[in-house]
Amino acid sequence: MFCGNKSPMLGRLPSFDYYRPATLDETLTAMERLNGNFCVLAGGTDLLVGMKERRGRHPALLDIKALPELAGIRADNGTLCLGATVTTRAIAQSPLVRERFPMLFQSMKLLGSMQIGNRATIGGNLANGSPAADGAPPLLALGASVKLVGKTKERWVPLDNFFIGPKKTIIEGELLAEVRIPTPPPSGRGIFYKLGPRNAPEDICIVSAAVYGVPDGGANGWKELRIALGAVAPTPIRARHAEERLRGQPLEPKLVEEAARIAADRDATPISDIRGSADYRREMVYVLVKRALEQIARDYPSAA
Amino acid sequence: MSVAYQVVGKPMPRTDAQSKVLGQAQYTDDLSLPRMLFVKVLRSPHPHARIRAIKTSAAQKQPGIVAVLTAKDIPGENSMGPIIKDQQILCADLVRYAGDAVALVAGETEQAAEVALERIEVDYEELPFVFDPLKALEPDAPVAHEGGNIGTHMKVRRGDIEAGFGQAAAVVEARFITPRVEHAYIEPEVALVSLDAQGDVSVWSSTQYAHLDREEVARMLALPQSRVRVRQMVTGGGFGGKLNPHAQCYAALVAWKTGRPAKVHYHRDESLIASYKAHPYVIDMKLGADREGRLTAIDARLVGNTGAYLCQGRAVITKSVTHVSGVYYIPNIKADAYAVHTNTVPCGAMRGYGVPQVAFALESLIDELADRLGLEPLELRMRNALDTTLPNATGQIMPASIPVKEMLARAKTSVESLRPLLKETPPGRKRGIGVGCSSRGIGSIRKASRSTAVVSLHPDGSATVACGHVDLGQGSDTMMAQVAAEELGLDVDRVRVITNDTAISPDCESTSASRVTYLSGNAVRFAAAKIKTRVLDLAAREFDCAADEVKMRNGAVAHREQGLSLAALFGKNTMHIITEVAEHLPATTPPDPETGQGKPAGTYNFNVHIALVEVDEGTGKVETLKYLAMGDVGKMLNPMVVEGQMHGGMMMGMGFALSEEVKIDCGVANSTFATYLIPTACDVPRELIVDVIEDAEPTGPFGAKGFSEGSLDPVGATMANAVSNAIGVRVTQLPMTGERIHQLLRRRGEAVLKAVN
Ligand SMILES: Cc1cc2nc3c(=O)[nH]c(=O)nc-3n(C[C@H](O)[C@H](O)[C@H](O)COP(=O)(O)OP(=O)(O)OC[C@H]3O[C@@H](n4cnc5c(N)ncnc54)[C@H](O)[C@@H]3O)c2cc1C
Repeated sequence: MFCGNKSPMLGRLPSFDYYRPATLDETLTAMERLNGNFCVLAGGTDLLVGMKERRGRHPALLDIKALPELAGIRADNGTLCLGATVTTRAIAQSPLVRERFPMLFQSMKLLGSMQIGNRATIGGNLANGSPAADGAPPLLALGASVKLVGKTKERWVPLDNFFIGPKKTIIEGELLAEVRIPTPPPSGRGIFYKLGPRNAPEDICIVSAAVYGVPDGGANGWKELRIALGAVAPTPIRARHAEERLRGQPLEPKLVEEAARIAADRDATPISDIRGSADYRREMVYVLVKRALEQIARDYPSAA
Repeated sequence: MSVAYQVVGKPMPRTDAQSKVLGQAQYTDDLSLPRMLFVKVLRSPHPHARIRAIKTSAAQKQPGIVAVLTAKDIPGENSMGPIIKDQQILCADLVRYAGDAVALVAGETEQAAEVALERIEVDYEELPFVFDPLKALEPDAPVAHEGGNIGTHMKVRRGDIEAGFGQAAAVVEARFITPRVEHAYIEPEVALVSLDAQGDVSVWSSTQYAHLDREEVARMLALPQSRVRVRQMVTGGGFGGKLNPHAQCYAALVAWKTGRPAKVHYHRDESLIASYKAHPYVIDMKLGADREGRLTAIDARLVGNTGAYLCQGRAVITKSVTHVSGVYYIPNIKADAYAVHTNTVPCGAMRGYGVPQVAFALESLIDELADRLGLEPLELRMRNALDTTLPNATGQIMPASIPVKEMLARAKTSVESLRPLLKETPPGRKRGIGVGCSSRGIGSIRKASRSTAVVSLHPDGSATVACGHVDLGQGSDTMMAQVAAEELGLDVDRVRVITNDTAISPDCESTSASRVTYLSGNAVRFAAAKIKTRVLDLAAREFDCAADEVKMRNGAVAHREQGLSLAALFGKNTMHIITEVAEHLPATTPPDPETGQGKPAGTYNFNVHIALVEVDEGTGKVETLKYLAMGDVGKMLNPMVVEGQMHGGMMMGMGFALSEEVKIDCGVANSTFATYLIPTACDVPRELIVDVIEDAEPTGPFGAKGFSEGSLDPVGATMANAVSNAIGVRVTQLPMTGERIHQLLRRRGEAVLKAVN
């Protein structure tokens, strides 16, 4: 038992310098000038809570909410482009998202209470690097990429390569500017399940799972089947072993069962914390993945 | 005889409702005074340590810091506690839980005080500690409290326990575990204190007992109580948690030492870490019944983890043990209850006060027994239910207002109506129905307690009621106004109730133990009745008739065609305002310390709840489809208040049943509402029905009695029985998180309960 190493209480928000640049260019210049001694502030629903808990000190906060370049939801030839500062509630309220990306709609609807959803941004949800971020599994399953912008260069990174550890992403002094989701084929179907301790949407999940499938139209099942998991590994992950097991085969009950087991036993590497034990998390990966696969199979009986 | 009342029994919104909805209500934190200092508390990071030295000089030198205070700055007694004063206001030599207070910083701003807090150097010598109450009972356990780890041992002894189990055809037993629970009042602790020119102390606070605040501040400052005045501000809930005025003492000490006004307000985490909680219990219980399903004996050992201090542990334990037989007649009882010290946050009063824990154990075993005897759970309950002829565990017989059998009969109809829904269970789910009952003695059990009220009738036909039990948001001020208005023939809005000022309101003891309606309601009614008698006598003389022929309404008296305003009547009799004082002290006998026998309550409240739940077989998550809360309240003074209390109690119980659990790693581990999980609006049962049974309590004001805790008491039991019924395994630990139920589902088939024979 390790006791007495920390003050038992949180504190007030420590003082910090605050910048609110008006353009992307101004922001990038400020970032360069501050030379790493800053933190980007979007909705603040992760950052400010963390600062109260004294997780890291941030002498300067750079508020990016005024940047027009980072705002708005657009469809570009069917590709969905989400500006980094679009709120999760705005995404949940977008008819486009609701119709074409129901899995993303579902996850955004379940991300926090209405008050949180009105502040929380999609960029913040990803850049925060939490393994439990509700936005991550559906975006991983949908094959999303993110645009990272620095003073001198700009790069597109598949979300698959974006997360590198708990609270760690590939971002290096850059701004996450946009999230892009490729046009899904009309027959594509996704399911997102979030398991929290209550029914309250403000609960951080114990486990979440997203499954996305594109039927191949023939008897052999699925052209594409992706499974992504939240809160069961150091980062949000793809369940590659389970995906591998399912490749090119019809979703028969035995196979579904087996794949869910593989996701739980091989893909997930959960820890125990205040929300749940590693053991429970593993079992819940099995339950959620199995349910999601069954649901998809039910929706496309021809492909099952 | 049914009497038609004008005001009492009518639904009416609380008198404080509008100001709260409009955001106009004044809470303590809304106040600030010129030159006010902000006070921060330094708390121990260790669960058990000796304080070798405290260096404050560096903190003192911080900008904006006016004072840094420690135990040696306390001029009077350095002790506090709602009942037992065994906690130091500021620890002088020993800290006994991570969160114990060690020093105070007073700064010009809150930020300055917070920064300086980190500059206080405390040299601690860490000592061995114990968190688990069963380990604390072992012979070589670390000593969490001087005098040993057993803080209290209370007993009930009735009949012959051996003989009782000898007669039993079926015996069931199990160990039950309940969580440590937080009150989660929406307003954390807050106090503002200032001194006037004579050096008298004024306190504004969020409290459940203004007179106790006064007593404790006076004792700490070595002042006569008459020099301290406390005003309770609008208070955002208490639920038992605001009976220990620590924040008030800290602000008062700073004000006293600096001469400047001082405010303390806890942030949520400080409230979660430092303030006392509801006791977690480990209960070993054994219950037997004969072939006809008559309960023959109960044997119980209740271990309540009272944490570092006893504060109210003895009283809570006493309530538990005296309620061990619930709503049933059990002839042979042996129960031992302990408050055990550990190096954890102290536990004290919380809505329920030790009853929800024992109800969970007892009601679970009743269901198990019913199963063994092949009886319907409600049938077994009916065969053993208390009535006006049968004594409870303390030997007390209630001569009236004990409608348990009527409630059980109604429950039977409800359960029948729910049964068809079991057939509609969706795949992957399991449904179950559960029943839970509870009984509760109204008011303090361990000692007699009284309320006093002063009522004044003004010549303009308005009235002022002064009585000292504060309203925490539960609506008691409104009901007191209704009681006085009814008695004096006035409209409610002509009556003002002042319960919050120690200079005006006489002591009524604390707002706790579901006691206010019954005790203070009577005191108010008696005082108003005395006024009425005087007025009617005066009028009778005036009208030359008998007093009972005079009508008193809307500030006037009348007899046939004769009428007089109160102003005129008072004027003719050299009176201006009529004031009367009255008190209510029910005739009770506290439980005998060796046997628990006595007559500890003036009246009892009974509850029967029913739940229909659905369990997700995969995740273990519990969903409440329907919940029916049946409560016995005597007569309702205000149906809206009754309904509000029953909804609130039910949902609080839902937290205890499903999600709330204060965890300890070193101190409180879940110190935010992101990890301490109270039910939200999304967690309310899909259908929630409140059913009130009105069976007048002859000794209550207009037939009323207390019930507010009762609406929480059986919820854990009811939900556990419903979930056990759904999954086919006995639940023995609360809260029933998805993870716990999932574990039980996995172990289904294993017998959790072992039968004795
Ligand atoms: C009560 C409550 C409930 C919550 N419930 C949920 C929930 O159910 N599900 C869930 O997933 N989350 C939940 N959260 C967490 C949080 O709301 C989300 O993760 C949210 O999306 C974070 O977005 P933000 O804009 O507030 O990020 P911020 O707090 O502003 O930033 C988070 C981190 O990302 C960085 N950052 C932000 N934007 C950018 C950018 N464009 N480029 C580079 N770096 C950036 C910041 O520097 C910071 O390190 C909850 C939080 C609270 C307080």
